[in-house]
Amino acid sequence: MNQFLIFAFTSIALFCISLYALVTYAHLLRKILAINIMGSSVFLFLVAVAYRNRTETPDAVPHAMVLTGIVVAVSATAFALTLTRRIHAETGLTYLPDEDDLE
Amino acid sequence: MATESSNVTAVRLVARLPARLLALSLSGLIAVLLVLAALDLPDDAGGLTTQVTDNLDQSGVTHPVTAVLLNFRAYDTWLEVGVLILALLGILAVQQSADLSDTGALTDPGPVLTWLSRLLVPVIFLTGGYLLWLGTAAPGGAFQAGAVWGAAGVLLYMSGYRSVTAMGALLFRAAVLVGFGIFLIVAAGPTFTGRQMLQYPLDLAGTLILLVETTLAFSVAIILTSLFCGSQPRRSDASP
Amino acid sequence: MSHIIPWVVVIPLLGAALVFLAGRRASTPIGLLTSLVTLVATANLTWLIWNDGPQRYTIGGWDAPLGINLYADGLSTLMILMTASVGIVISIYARGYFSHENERRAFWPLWLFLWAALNTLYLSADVFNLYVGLELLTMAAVGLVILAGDRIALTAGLRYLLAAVLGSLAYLFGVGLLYAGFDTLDMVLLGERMDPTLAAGAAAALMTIGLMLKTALFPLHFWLPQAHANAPAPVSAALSALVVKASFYLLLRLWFEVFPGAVSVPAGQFLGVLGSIAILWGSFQAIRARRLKLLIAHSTVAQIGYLFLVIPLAAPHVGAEPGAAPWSFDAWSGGVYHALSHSFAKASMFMAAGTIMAALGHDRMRDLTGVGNRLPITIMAMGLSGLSLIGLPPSGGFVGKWRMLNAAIESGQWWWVAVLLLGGLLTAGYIFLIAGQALAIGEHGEDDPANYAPVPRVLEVTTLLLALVALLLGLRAAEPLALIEIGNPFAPQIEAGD
Repeated sequence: MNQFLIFAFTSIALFCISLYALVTYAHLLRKILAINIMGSSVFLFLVAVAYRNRTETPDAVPHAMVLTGIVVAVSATAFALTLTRRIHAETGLTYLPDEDDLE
Repeated sequence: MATESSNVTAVRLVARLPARLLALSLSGLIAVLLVLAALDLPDDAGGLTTQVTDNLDQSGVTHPVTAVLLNFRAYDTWLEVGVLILALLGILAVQQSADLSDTGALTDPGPVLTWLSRLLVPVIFLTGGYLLWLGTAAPGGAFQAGAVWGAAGVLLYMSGYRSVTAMGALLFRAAVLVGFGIFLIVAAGPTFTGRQMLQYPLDLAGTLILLVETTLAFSVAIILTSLFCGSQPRRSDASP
Repeated sequence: MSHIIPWVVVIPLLGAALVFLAGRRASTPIGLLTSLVTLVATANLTWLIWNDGPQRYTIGGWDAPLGINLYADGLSTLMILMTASVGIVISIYARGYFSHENERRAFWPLWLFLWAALNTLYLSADVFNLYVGLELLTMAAVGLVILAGDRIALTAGLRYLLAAVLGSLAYLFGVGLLYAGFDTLDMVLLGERMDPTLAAGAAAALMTIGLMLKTALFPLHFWLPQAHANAPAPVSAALSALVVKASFYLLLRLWFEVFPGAVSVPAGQFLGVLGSIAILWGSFQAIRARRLKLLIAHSTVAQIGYLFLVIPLAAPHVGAEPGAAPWSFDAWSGGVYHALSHSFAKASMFMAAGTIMAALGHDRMRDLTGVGNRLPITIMAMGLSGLSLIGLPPSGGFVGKWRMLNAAIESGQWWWVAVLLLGGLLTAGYIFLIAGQALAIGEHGEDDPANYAPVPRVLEVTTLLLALVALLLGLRAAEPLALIEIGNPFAPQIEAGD
């Protein structure tokens, strides 16, 4: 088992665990956390791809992709959290209600 | 109506068992598929390292990641700043206001936090500046500096100092946009002088990158602080 | 290389920045001006591609695989032209629609960013750049959904955001797998280097699932009806007409130009099955809907199902030489044409629903009796759009469906014929529901003029304009089809022009 595969398997495990959590848990903060961990898992995979068992400098392009991805993830998380706070302020709920719950 | 916690149909915090089993099997299936795919990948390929190294001397910086971010694939970086701005626009839309002047303050920070922030914020400013400057030769650059400065902004806000929330509306919008705007000018400008979009003249590449990075770091810091402050409830919403 | 290609992206971004900077009073004029200039630039681009064929643009002077390339062929140009044409009308409609100052001020920067994101997606030839574009699109779209600020809109917006980000992450993982396997992010190079490895197949699966989430293909459509129905009317029009088409366009590009060497026939058939279920389920939900905008949103889910039939129809022998099947171009162009007509028709329907809501204050189907007597132009527009959605001649929808039917018959895939015809019947079902209510004579005073607030004329005229274009696309299909042909993946490069 070489270095690349260790990181790749870890990222896959994180991806799938957080996918399960995203679908299963109803609490919005858990969903947002799950999305964040999913994002981090994809970034981990990219970082693993950047340096595959070599001795020279790592590949810069996946690193740039991860940096861009982190900024995008921060933006989406901030937006999602603000929406969550607003929904909570307006409805008192911490989960996404169906239409019936809102009437 | 709003704060019922005694609903007749209790809210399930976790999905029902059949749904959980389905989700579990799907996740497991995806995991197996991806593991097999990862095993199938060439595990000693170099990616685009050679291309980056070969063209690094023409990029205007000496660090390969900065070269990729701000020269070879600068289009991605420019668009990602747009994503950041969109997050702020979205938050402003949620709060139904045009700026953050109505944001409530956090609860009383206490003396320790206030003292600590007075100590730390200048250091943070220096660190961010250093990271910005370092970006041409080592890991660092606009986003790293912007993130560190943004943290300073959040610390100031948590200590009770009003930073972005006290800016005048026009100044605030200008500060948010300056990084994106300068980047736009640098991107579209070359098309007027016979070059491709984002094609820097070789002798000016380093300077242009530094200019873009500086304004970008400033804007990113403002935006990140605003993303935090913007999620706080508005003062006008709080019931007396 | 012509610089109009990147400027089609730069102009709306510049407009968005200026609109945000300018603040309250100048936002609408700047927004309208930007829309107009973008339309002019788009016309310029179309003229270029029409005359000179597909164009490649190297950003920064760095060619692939190191840098990012833009690529404009017939399909991408048609999509950009569709976006601009629907977009300018949405802009004009929005000017008349938004009454709250907060909404209007927040609308313009978000809308122009959305437009820019669409153009970015249609032009990019780099899979990671597409990821950034998709995120740009999602953030702008969600921002627009929550504009009204009521609880249902906020909830629908958050659900949309979570689903869309999930889709983006699945897509990004696929990008990582592609890069790891083939050392490039450029779509053309990927297509050349594609091998039927497991990694490539996994990447295809992940990217397809991600894009399915964003295009709302059954069963990943759960977020769409509430999001599209509870947004302000011009936003609903933009979402159903333009935003879902972008991810569908990406699926077409990926399946037919990047992955043909790696995906299998059963996978394509599976997508077709999902599309069929979408048609049936979406139409069923539309017939059941109690609100007009919800009906139209469910109709979008159904019409998207049609689009996914393109994949099994056009590539029954995926893996073989592209162009090997003579009906492939028919199916592919039929799907694209269907998407095109649907954009105009669906935008018109949502705008009509918005007009009705502005006049009546609600959109409950039960209480819409006799709307046609009070808002005749609007209902006529709905009728014409409905024609296109059902796929009756002479409309753009008919041309699209006809081509797809032909492809199904020629390729011997009879089961899709049944689906296409049944779908048309079901669409007629809910269109006639609307027509029945609208054209009824209110016997108990339901269509009392006192219930109707006056609406600006411009709302009704713009709605009719889009519906007429949907009709025109059926009468005059030659030019758009010729545009689609330029650079299509099923034939060698053909000479552009008439």
